[in-house]
Formats: sequence, C-alpha cells, structure tokens
Amino acid sequence: MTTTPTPPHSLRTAAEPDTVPDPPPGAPDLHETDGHQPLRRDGDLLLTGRARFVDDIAPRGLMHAAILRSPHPHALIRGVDATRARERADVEVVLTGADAVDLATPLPHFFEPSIVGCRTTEFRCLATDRVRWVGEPVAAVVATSLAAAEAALDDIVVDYEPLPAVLDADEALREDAPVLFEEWGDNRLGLFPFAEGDAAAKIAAAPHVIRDELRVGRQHVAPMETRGYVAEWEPGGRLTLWASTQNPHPLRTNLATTLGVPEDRVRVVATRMGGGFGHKFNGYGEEPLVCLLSRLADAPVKWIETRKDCLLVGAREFTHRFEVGFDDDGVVLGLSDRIVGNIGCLAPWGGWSMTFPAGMTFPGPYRIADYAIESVPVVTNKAPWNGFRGYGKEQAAMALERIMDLVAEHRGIDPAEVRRRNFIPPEAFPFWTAAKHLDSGEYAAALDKALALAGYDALRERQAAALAQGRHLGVGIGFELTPEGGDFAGSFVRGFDTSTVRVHPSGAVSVLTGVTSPGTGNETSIAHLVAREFGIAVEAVGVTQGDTDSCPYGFGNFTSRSLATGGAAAVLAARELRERMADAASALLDADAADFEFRDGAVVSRTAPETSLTFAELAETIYRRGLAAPGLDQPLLEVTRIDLPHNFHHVPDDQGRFSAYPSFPYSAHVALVEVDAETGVVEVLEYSAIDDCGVVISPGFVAGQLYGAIAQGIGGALWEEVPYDEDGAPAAETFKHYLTPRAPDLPSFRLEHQHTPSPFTLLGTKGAGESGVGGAMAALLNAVNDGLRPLGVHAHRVPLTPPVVLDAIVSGGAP
Amino acid sequence: MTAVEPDAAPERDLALTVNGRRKRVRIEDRQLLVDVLRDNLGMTGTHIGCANGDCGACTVRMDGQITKSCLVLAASAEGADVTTIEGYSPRGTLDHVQQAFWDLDAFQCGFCLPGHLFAVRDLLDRDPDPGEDDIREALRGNLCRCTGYVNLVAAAGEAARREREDQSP
Amino acid sequence: MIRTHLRYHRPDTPDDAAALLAEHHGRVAVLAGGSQLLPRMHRGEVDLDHVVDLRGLGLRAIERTGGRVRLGAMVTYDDALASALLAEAVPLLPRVARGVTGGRQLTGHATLVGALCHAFPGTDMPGALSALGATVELHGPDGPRECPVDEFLLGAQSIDRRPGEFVAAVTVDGVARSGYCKVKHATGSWPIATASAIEDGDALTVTLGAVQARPLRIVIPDPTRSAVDDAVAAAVTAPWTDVLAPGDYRARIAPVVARRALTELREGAHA
Ligand SMILES: Cc1cc2nc3c(=O)[nH]c(=O)nc-3n(C[C@H](O)[C@H](O)[C@H](O)COP(=O)(O)OP(=O)(O)OC[C@H]3O[C@@H](n4cnc5c(N)ncnc54)[C@H](O)[C@@H]3O)c2cc1C
Repeated sequence: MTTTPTPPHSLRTAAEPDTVPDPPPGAPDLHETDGHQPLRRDGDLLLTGRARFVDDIAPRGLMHAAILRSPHPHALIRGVDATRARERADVEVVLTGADAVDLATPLPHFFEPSIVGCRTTEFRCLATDRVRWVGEPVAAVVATSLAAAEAALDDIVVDYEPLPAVLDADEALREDAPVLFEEWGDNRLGLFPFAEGDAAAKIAAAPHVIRDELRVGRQHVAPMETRGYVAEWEPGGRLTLWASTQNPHPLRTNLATTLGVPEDRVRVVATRMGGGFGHKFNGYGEEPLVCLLSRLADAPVKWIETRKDCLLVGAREFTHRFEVGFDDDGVVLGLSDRIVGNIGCLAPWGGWSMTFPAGMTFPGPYRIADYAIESVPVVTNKAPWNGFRGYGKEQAAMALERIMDLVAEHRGIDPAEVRRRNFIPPEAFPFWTAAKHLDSGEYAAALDKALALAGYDALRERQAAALAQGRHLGVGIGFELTPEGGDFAGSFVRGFDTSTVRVHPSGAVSVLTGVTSPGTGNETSIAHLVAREFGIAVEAVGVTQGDTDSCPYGFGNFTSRSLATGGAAAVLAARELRERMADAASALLDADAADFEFRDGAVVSRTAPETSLTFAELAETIYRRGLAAPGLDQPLLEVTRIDLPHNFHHVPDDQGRFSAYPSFPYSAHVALVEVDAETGVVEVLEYSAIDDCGVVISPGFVAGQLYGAIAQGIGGALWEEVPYDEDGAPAAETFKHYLTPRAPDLPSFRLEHQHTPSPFTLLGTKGAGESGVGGAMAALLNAVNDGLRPLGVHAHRVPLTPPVVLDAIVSGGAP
Repeated sequence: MTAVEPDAAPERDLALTVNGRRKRVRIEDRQLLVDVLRDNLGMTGTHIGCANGDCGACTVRMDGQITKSCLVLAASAEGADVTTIEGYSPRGTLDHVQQAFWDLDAFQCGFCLPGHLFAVRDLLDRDPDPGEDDIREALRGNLCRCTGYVNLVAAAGEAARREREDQSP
Repeated sequence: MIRTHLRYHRPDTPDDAAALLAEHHGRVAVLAGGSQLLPRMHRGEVDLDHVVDLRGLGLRAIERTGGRVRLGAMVTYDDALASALLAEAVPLLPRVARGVTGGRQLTGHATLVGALCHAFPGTDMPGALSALGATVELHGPDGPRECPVDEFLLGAQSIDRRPGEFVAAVTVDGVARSGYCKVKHATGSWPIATASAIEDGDALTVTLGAVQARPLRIVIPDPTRSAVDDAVAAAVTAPWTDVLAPGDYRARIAPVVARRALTELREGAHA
C-alpha cells in the first residue's frame, strides 16, 4: 500500500513516484508507464468539433420522429384517434400503441426482475391500454422535419380515463393505495434482505440506541448529451441502429428478439457518447420504436431525446429508517436499516435494480457482526428509473456515514475516531459479509491520509474560531466502499468481457473490444496496455468499440468494469499472440523463443541483441510464409479472449453467503462547508479525498473519474432534485430547476491515491469510475449537519437545499 | 377526404460568414442559428445540450461576441461573422487553450467543449492572467458533467501561462 | 423545434414595428435578445406566427435625460456593465448585471428590458427597476405612452402592454447609493429573493424582488434590525412559490435579504 499524489497540473510530465506496489502475479509491469499517461485518444477531434455524436449522424433521406407522451400519471387509454395527424401532407408515419402490438414483441428487460426473485410484467414500446406515468410514450410520428413531426403530435387525440395515482412510496405501500399492476395485488416489486447475526437482539441489549430517518429526493443523471437513435432499415432486411447507448451488443440481441430479425442482420453502432453514467443503459422503448418507424417510413429515422424528456428518467429516491445500537466507545453492536426505494413505475430499463446494491453494500467498510438490512423497491406513478452512477451504493454510504457521525455526537467522540474503531482491519481480508467477499482494504490508513490532506485539526480550529463570530462552518467525513464489476448470471449484466487483438502484416495492431467508453478514457488505456505487451508505440494500436459488426460480443459499459474486463481480455489476447510471434521468431532466427523480448518496435534476443527483427517484419513474414516455412506453423495473428473470472461467488456457501461483485474500491472524503444559518444556503469551501482502487493503469484518468464523481455527489447532496407537482408531473424541466453544479459552485478538489491491489484481478486493479459519488454525498451530508450542530438540529433530507436546511433550523428538529 | 396541405413555412436566403468563408443558405425563418449551422451547413461540432441557453454546448463566436447559438434566430443573423468550434483555430492546429485542455485532461466526453473553449478564449482575450475565481466565473454559463471542473480550471490557467510565456520576449 | 410557420420581421422604424405588432396581434411577439422567447417557442410553450425583431431600431443607448438615465430596449447586461454613466449615476444596475448567470454568451445579448417584459417573478430585473422608480416608455400604433414600472408589472408574467405596443426604453432615477442582495440555491438557479436598498435623501427603501409575484417596495423608517424585520414581515403577505422554493421559505428569508442589502448600502459591496 502506498500513496501517490495526483499530478495537479501537467499529467504528462508528472513523474509517478517509484512507490507503485508490486503487482500481483500476472499483472503487467506498470512502473515505467505510470504517470506518463498518453493523451486522451481523439482529443484533437473533440477539440476541433470533428468528433461525431449520434445527432451528427444524418443518412441521406433522413426523416425525424416525435413522440406523444402521456400527460397523466395514471389513466386508461380508451382510444387513440390519429386521423388528422395522418392527413398532414408532411407526415409519413403515425404509429399508435395498438398498431405496434403486431409489429414488436414485449421488450426484454435490461435486468429481468424475476432473476432476483422480484415481480415482473411485460412492456411494449408504446402504451396500449393504460399509462402509468407522465411522459410514457403513447404514439409516434415520422415527418420530413422535426418541426412537422412535433406539430403533428397536436393532431393525435387520445381519449384517457384518468385513474387515481400514487406518487409517494410510503403511500404506495398502504393497503388502500391505487395499484399499478393489478396482478401483483400491491405495489411492492420485491424485497432484498441482507443480514448476519441477530441485529434486533444486539440493538435491544446495547447500552445506547439511536433511531432516525434519512430521506433522499428523486435525482437524475443529466448527461450533457441526451439519448438518441438513428435507425436505417434497408429494404433488403438489414437494420442499422446508431445509438447513444452503453450496451450495443445486448441492445442488438434485444432488437433481434423484439423485431423478429435474425441477430446477424442487425447492426448497432454505439456512437461517441456525450456522457452516460447509467442513463444510456439499454431497455428503452424508443430503441425498437425508432427501428420500426424506419421500416414503416422506408427511410432512415432519427429521434433525439429533448432535455425535458431526458429529465423524466429518475433515480435515488430512497427513505432509510435505521436503528443502531452501540457501546460507550462508539463501537457499533447492531444495525438495522429498512430502505424503501421509490422506483417510479417499473419499465424494462434497469434502474430499479439499484435497490439491490443499496442494501447489499451494507455494512460497508465496517465490521458489524449483527445487522439486518432490507431494501424494498416500490412502484409509483412517477417515471421509471434508469441507472445513475453510484447505483444505489451511495445510499449505503450516506446512511452508514451519517450513523457514524450520530454515534460520535452521542458519545462525544471525534467522528474520525469512531470510524477507526469500527473499520474492518487490514489483516481481516479477504472478508465475508452476507453478500460480499471483500478483496483488500487499508481503510483506516486511507481515512488518516484524507484527514491529513484536509488538515483536519486545523479545520476544527477554524470552525471554532468562526463559530465565535457566529459563522457556521461544518466539517464532514464520508467514507465509501464501492462494490464494482457486478456479475448477474441470467442477465446481460455480466462481470466478464471480450477483446480481440489482431496483428496486421504491416505491424499495425487492432483491438476490438466488447466494452465501450462513455468518455472515461478506457480506449486510451486499452491501447496503452496492448502496446506495452508488444513493445510498440501506442499510436500503432487502434481500438474499435461499440460497433457490433466488427467487435466481439460484449456487455458494454457499466459498473466501472470496462478496463478491468475488456482491458484484461485484450492483455490476455496480446500475450497469446506474443507467444505465437516469439515462436515464429525463434524458428526464423534460430534462437530460443523464451529468449525474445518485445521492445522498441522490435523482437529482440535478450542474450544476443543483434538477433532481432522489427515487429512489422516479423508480422509480415508470418503472413507471407506461414505454413510454408519450417516452424511457422501458426500464422493466425488474431486472438479473442475473455478475461478470467475472479472473486465471484455465485453459489451461496454453507452460511448462505454469496458475492456478485468482485472488486471493492473505496475512498475517504473530507468536506468543509459554510452554512448560512439565516438562509440555509450552503457553500462548499474545501474538499479533499483519498481514493484506493488498487493498481492504477492511467492515474490521470482515474483522477478525472473521481473529480467527476465527487462533483456529482456534491450536486446530489446539495442541489439536484426533480420534484413532482400535485398533478403527478415532474416539475423540473430545465437546468434552471435541475441544478447540476457549475464551476463557481465548487472548490478545486485535493486528491491523492492509495494503492491496495486486489489479490484477485489480473492487473491488480479494482473498478474505477463510480467511486466517489457516495463518499461525496456522505461528506456533504455530515458537513452540513456538523455546521448545524451548535444550533441543536439535524437535517436528514437530501438534497440539502436552502429551504430544507432552513426548515431544519426553524423547526428546531431536535437531534 | 383530402390531405391537409399546410402552407409552407416562410423561408429566406441568409448570407453569413462562417469560419472565414462566405455562405449563402436557404433557411426557414423559424430555424435557430444552431440548427442552420448543424443541419444546413454541416457544422456538427456545435452541439445542442439543452436548447435553453443553460449548458453552453452550442456556443459560437458571432461578430466578436461569444453567443449561445440556440438563443439566436438564424434569420436575425443576416451578415454575421460566425466562428464555430471547427474554426476556433486554423485547420490542423490547436491553440494554447485547446492544447492545454488536452494536455491536462480537461474534458472527458467532450460534448460541452464548444462552451468551455470559447469561454476560456474570451476570458484570456480580456485578462491574460486570471485567477482561479475569475476562471470559474468565466465558465459559469457552461455545464460539464464529467470533470468536476478541476482539470478545466487548471487547463485554463495553464493556457494563460503558456500564452504569457509566448508573449514575453 | 419551433413548430409554427414563423415569419421573422425586422422593421426599421418604431412605427413600422408598432404596425406589425398591431397587425398580427395575438400571434406575434417582440424579439429582443431572444433568450426567453426562443427556448419557449422551441418547447412549444408559446405558439406564434410572427416575431418582430427590434434590432433594426437602434434602442441600445444609455443616456442622461434631465436628472434621470434612459436605457434603450436593446441595452444588454454587458452594456450595463460597461457603461461609465451607469457606474456613476445608477450603480445598482451594473451591480445586478454582474450577478446574472448564463455567462458572457448570454449577457452579451440578453436585454434588461427583455427580462422586465418577461416579468417572471424569480428574476433580478423587475425588483431592481422597481427600486429605481423606473418609467417604462412604450411605443404603439397611437404613438408613445409612459407607464410607471409598478403599474406596468401586472403580475407573474403579465405586463400592461396594449395591442401593437413595444417597450422602447426605460428611464430610471439617478441613485448613486444603493445596495443589493440576492439569494439563490446555486449558480444556475433562478434568484429566490432579491433586495435593492436605496437611499434617497433621508428616505430609505428596500425593494424585494422574486419574493412575491410583483416587486414589493418597502419604506424603512428605522434601519435597526428588528424594525427592518418587522417592516418586511408585515409587507410580505403573498409570497411566491415555484419549483425551487415554497412561499414560506421566501417569506422567511425576505427580512434577511433586506437587511443584507441595507448593509451593502451602508458598507459598500464586497464582491
Ligand atoms: C442561461 C441563462 C441565465 C440567466 N440568468 C439569469 C439571472 O441570473 N437572473 C435573472 O434575473 N435572469 C436570468 N436569466 C434570464 C435573462 O435575464 C432573460 O432571459 C433575458 O434578460 C431576457 O432578455 P432577452 O432580450 O433575451 O428577451 P427575449 O427573450 O427576447 O424576450 C423576453 C420576453 O419579453 C418580450 N420583450 C422583449 N423585449 C421587449 C420589448 N422591448 N417590448 C415588449 N416586449 C418585449 C418578448 O416578447 C418575450 O416575451 C437567465 C437566462 C438564461 C438563458
């Protein structure tokens, strides 16, 4: 375990100290390259406006689609009259739910709820007889211009019979609540219990007990690029869909199923993505819909989500009701949390499943033998969820970290010390909990480094001095454990992935991979890894992602898995090729294959450096003389591999424990805020964090991920919310209501890294990408509450907008 | 029943200079400048993130003034001199701001770049040595969801430093 | 996308503008900077067949008229920030302009009068112009008409503009000493409450913006804390609720922003 600072200014010149840990067996030697990170691939294209996003795709003859959406949160559809829309001269196609029934099957779920024991139901690309949320697609129009398509929506008359709606999860659980899916009998989608020991007994016997509640409002991903699709269904039967999607291959499979087309005649191209973060997981009705519209229009059709429609997609609306028993020293003896997730309406989108990690992540980095966590996904008449970075894990971080602070406050112990007393110690790893097999961790060390980086003691002094002047500074700690790389057998959310490496006769190398990049830099890192295996320049390695016609089957981008899986698979494939090439070099140069090393663009004998061939010469010779020259008996310079499975425990052990996630990065955060006690406005003054995601391939890119995650966490903690009005419609329709952070809202974050390798992964890496959201949310939640302490109140409603904070102050809600 | 024939949307010829080249395009009066740049002129580097003036991804420079092109009716831009991200620096080159953005990893998905590049350029043209707060204020009309602005702010400072270095003899 | 068959007009004279506005009354809007109007048309929230652009009329001057200062309808936030005349005679306006978000991509073409005419309660301009005792100069088919700003602003997004009229300018009092305070959630949020404090001879007033549907001018007889709080609390009777904040929050912070504006008036701006 070591610490390395993130180079603050020049990523290219900052030398990574020689403190990178010894990599686990099988990992490439990263010492030379760490810190000399290549520039982001295609940066010049992006910087000069020449990169192509989905909305930039415009095949000849393109037409435009617009979608009519439900204005009601819950209603029966008694009829749809599209006559007038169809009569418009500029309208090519009008499709209603009833029309679509014969053209497309029900949609496959991104994550079929029944796999994890939940209730389920079927959905179509357009609603047929009932709508269950404002914004649900009801009909679609294709016209020669988008303006014409949108205008024609006014000419579709839908006869709705409004039904009672329920928006609040607690109300939805009441017996007299309107039921969304009658066949279920109530609104509970399922129940995820995670427990060890006997929490109730331990809490009952504990010397001190705290019971409290934490509420988190509905939040939203807000990628800068909204979703979009361009479909071209050629008369010959070949369908191409350009999609802003994180999962091109599963999307292709689903399209083939839904539309009844052989899978190999469907091509999905995941275009360059303007931010994903879960919003672009597949499962949306628009995916097959736009394809159908293209077939019906006999022309390419484009649909781009409006910002208002984008804001429909929800996440993170949770309530925690927790109980914690602890001793005089602040050691937790028993913990329970009943978590209710208001997942909106169920849909084939995957977001509802965030309720699983929300519970599974407990008890986080803490050694608590007795705990009982229940996470309950509840359907309501709000729009469905899709994924949102953090994926529910931020819920555990917020609740656990808030609990640590409450315990500290109760016992009069410093909050950092309470955490130290409860952390799982380093020597206890690997460590089992009910649903996690934790790989490795130096939690206390990470926290202590974060405190040092923040100047924790000095912050406390500043806080005291400010208070003497009537100003309320707050210091908050957030520690986050982030299960990454989840593998759910039976779904397309898998923990492995595939890469092909191909060496061309010229010595050029192609990597084709099943993982995609939403702008995380993984393509750059993958090229870098493969170039290192071959000892060639990184520029000689091309990486192709996202095109199902050229890439091997893969699952795309989610849960920070892309580099760990696709990158590891590419390394394995490159190594196999390297062996083949070394064998060939051995035959050609009459030297021992094991004696060759690949460096500086050549294959060189270690013992006799003059015995060498350039990488390109060797490749070309294998193509030209393979099978014709003695010893050149494997001329296939293309290998496809998957990465090796690691640390998955799908089959429960004798104690019923299982682990669907293989890697467990973590991070420690310290925030300083000032709470304006007269207005409730919170200003973020300083922010420091330590991140540990094991061995790091590209430190700059990992830092970039963290910075982004922290900003999203701060936004979620303080400002971001989509409230619903009394009519059941979302009230935030623009960025003037959904307040994602702007540059003046944030300080520069101080970030350093600790590296505790995973003993289980090929590269020693842990996932990097989601980590940081929950830590930031927790740190801010605690910082604001710390600032409120002298006022004797708590604020347990996130986001902590000024009205929420002032409410807490005015109502005097006692701690 | 006969098809309803909508009367045509009013159109006009629009003369513009885009990235130094004279253009004459046929547009509908209802088109926004961003749509004309993207759809009629094929300049797709200017992005639409919100169509509400909030995110800045559609930023261009118009007659010397940086402008959100989703807030401009194209018909009102007759005769304007417009620079888009494609013409931000001469073809095949990167200016100090672009290069510093790349070197310091100031962007990830890159969708928001038009706003951030033009805002930083606009700042440095007015103030060659901005402090962190000045930079953050200059970026306030833009949104980025990937970077937390950390490297963006650092890159703007680095670009300023490199430009000052260039200027000093 | 703007769905209607919109026609763009750019008249050269005020009378032509008024004639166009009168001719298409009900289906026409004035286009100034476009930063409110165009997005709303794009989302289909307003359906219009014509827009009348004021760019051809000049109307971008900031000039002295007697003891007052006159701002043309096309004066932008950046113009206000750059004006030496305003800095000296009406510093409140550049003070307010400095706090407008949107960046220079917005402030270079968004107009003060456009913000006034949009008359959305949760914004800066209505309160500030009300504090300055602005007079709205309209031009219509029957020629010019003047209207005090407090009568011009009828309610939330409602102004006293008759068929064929547009605002040609606003005239404000020269007020050398003022203070301003704005509370909002984050950089990108609409203002939640604003206060403009003005000292005019012995009279002290605070005008609250964004707190109610219309600006609220409050005479402050005594600048002590409790007197200000009482005066404000008594004046705020129907606080504005929107997506970002409920009325009771606005009512609670109204005295605070009032006091802070008065403090700035006394001590000068820190920002
Ligand atoms: C990104 C962004 C950030 C913003 N931040 C702030 C902020 O921090 N504080 C704040 O208060 N506001 C803010 N605003 C709102 C901004 O102030 C207004 O959008 C702008 O000033 C309106 O002026 P405009 O010239 O663009 O008006 P337009 O959009 O052209 O017009 C607005 C309305 O007024 C009418 N109108 C305009 N001029 C006249 C006239 N002369 N006579 C009659 N009617 C007229 C139009 O018909 C239209 O209905 C922000 C807006 C954006 C887009």
